[in-house]
This record gives sequence, structure tokens and C-alpha cells, in this order.
Amino acid sequence: MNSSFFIDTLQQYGYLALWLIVFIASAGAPVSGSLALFASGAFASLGDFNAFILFPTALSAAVAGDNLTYFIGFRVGAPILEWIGRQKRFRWMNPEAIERGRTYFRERTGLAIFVTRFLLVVLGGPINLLAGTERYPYRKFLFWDVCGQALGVIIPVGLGFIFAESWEEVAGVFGAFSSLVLAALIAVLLTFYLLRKIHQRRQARAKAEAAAGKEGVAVPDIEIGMAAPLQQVMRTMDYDSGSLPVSD
Amino acid sequence: MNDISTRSYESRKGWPLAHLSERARLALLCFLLLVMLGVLAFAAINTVQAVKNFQHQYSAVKSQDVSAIHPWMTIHVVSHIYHVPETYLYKTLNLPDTPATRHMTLDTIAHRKKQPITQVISTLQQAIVRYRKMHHIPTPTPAPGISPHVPPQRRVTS
Repeated sequence: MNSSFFIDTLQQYGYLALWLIVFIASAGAPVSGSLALFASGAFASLGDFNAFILFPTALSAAVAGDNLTYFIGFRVGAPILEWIGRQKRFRWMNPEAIERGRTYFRERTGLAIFVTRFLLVVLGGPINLLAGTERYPYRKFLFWDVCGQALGVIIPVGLGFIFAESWEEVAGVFGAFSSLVLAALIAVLLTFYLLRKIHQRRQARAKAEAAAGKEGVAVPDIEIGMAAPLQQVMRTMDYDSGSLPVSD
Repeated sequence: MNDISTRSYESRKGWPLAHLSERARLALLCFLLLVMLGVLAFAAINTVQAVKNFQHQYSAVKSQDVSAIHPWMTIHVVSHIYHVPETYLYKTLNLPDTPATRHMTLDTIAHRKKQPITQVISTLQQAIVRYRKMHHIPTPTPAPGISPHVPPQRRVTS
């Protein structure tokens, strides 16, 4: 489905087409709703749409689509997660890591909903599903969703309106910038995680060396052949990496 | 604390990454970070390219360069940007001026007329240049670069 299809549909069927495209996109389908919003903003500037009707139409469609995926997550998300937990083929997914992820998400659901409405739009559908699965309170979901989607509609429609004749290129810049932010975010998170791991590893090794010094046992170079006192030390310290330290 | 750490270690025995040493996991993490930095560089280049593309198109539109005509535009939009009467453009393309054709994009028009989109755009570009000459409208300076929608041999410089 290319942009030409969107534009033709928008031109032929007007607000109804816009509502359906934005609704389907917000519901998580791989359809570019923001492209339709940029185009409709441009058409509003060129006299084919009314900007005051455009905004509530697009906002209601986006919120309705988000609500649909929230309720899908609410109804079937939790049973699916339980089913995944029981399946042997998904054992590569560490249950503790999943639980940590869920806790982390629960603490930041509002922010995640808000940001994914207008910046990291590609994550909007999964976040709605997760919010529903985690039984995030509906009123809070609706609040953050409407706030985020208000921005999510105003930004593309506004940019399309301002740069009407160049809306395609502006949409390109917006999409590229969004990908850049997502890539930067993942890179920063990976860097922090890596640094934390290195720090934990150093701390664990220092403790192990100190303990081994007291006992008069040499710290083994690799994981095999670990001395009994050192195993005792490893169990008593706060170290959750799942394997024993190795020296460089 | 003791129980938690032991339980954590025990619960991870089953999953495939548990057999990897800490060093191997760090190496894997470094590799992922390197891949992500590559993706980041690619995204940055893509963004710069998109900005340049936008600047080019924006300056072309501002200078009313006819190379800025796009397949998504309707006759109404072309008329609005280049200050040429709609009826004149419809006549050039042999189309009736009806509400249905008013909402047709150039892409759709080309499809209906079974012509390549470049030909329809080229016809409109020539018509706009002709109109400007007929009405002694000063021709604006074209934006640098060649439009991707117009073949070089058919391109009309205004």
C-alpha cells in the first residue's frame, strides 16, 4: 500500500477515509497513519479539507484505534502470557527477565503511552497491547492516550498545513528523525546496560579477591575449578548475573 | 539476599544463554551495541538526506519552479501553487472540469488516460511555461537539480 493509494482515497472519500486510515493505523496495522495526517494537513492548507473538522476527526480515530488494541490486550493478553510461560519452546525467554520487564513497564506505563503517540509511533500498538495485558487503569490510559494523540495529530497535520506543497518531504524528515531517536534510545540503553554489567563484574571480582585473600585461596582464572570458599562468597554477595566472575 | 541470589542462578539454568560465560555475554552485548551504533549512523545519514531533500523541494516550490510538480497533486493544487487557472490546465489535459476530476490526483489522471505519470507532469509543465509566456509573467529561477519525476530530455526549464 503506497502513498498514492492514501492520497487518492483521501481525495475521493474525504474525512471518512481519513478516519478509517488513522483508526486502522492506531489499531496497530502496518499502515502509515501519519502519512495520511501530513497529507490531510496539506490538503487543508490547499482548501480541500477544513482544519477544524480535520482535528477532531483524526483525534477520535486515533483514540478509538488505541482503545481497540488496549481492550484486545485486556481480554486476551494475560492468558497468552500465561500460555507462553507454560510452553517449553519459549524457555529461551528468561521468566525473571520477563518479570523485571513487566515491573519496569508498570512503573512507566503513562510515559510510554504518551511518548509513543507522537514520537516513537511505531511502538504505539505494542504499548497499547501491553497496557491492556498489564490491566493498566483505563481512565489513566485514556488520559495519557488523548494527551499524546493530541500532539500526535497536531504535529503532522500542522507540519502538513505549514509546508503544504512539500508535505511528502516533511513527512520523510519526520519519519527519519523518529527512527534516529529510536536508534539513539536503544544505543543509550545498551550502553548503560553494558556499563552496569562491567561495573557489577568488577565489584564481584574485587569482593571475590578480597574474600579469597582472607582465606588464603587463589582466585581461579575461569569458572571451572572454583574453590569451595569462593563459591560460598559468590552465594552471599548481591550478584545476579547467573554465572561466576572471570578475570581478564 | 543469599536465597535470592541462589534462586536467580538456579532459575537461569534452563535457558540457553545461561551456559555462556560472563565474558561471552559482555562480548555479545558489545556486538549488539556496535550493530546499534551502525544503525544509528545509518539513521543519522538518512535524516540528513531527508532534510536536504526537503530543502531542495521547498526552495523549488518557493521559486515556483515547475519541476516541483508531484504525482500526488491535483489540478486544483497545481493551479493554486503556480497561479494558473484551473480551466486552462483541464483544457490542456483534455479533461472535463467536474467535481470528480477536481479530486483526482495527477497519478490517477495518468492511470485513467493510460499515460505514464511523467508525461502528464511534463504536459502540465509545458502548459504552465506557455501560460507565463502568453501573459508576460516573469519566469522564476528554477531550483538546482533535476526533478526525479521528469525525464531530462523532456524537462522544461522555465
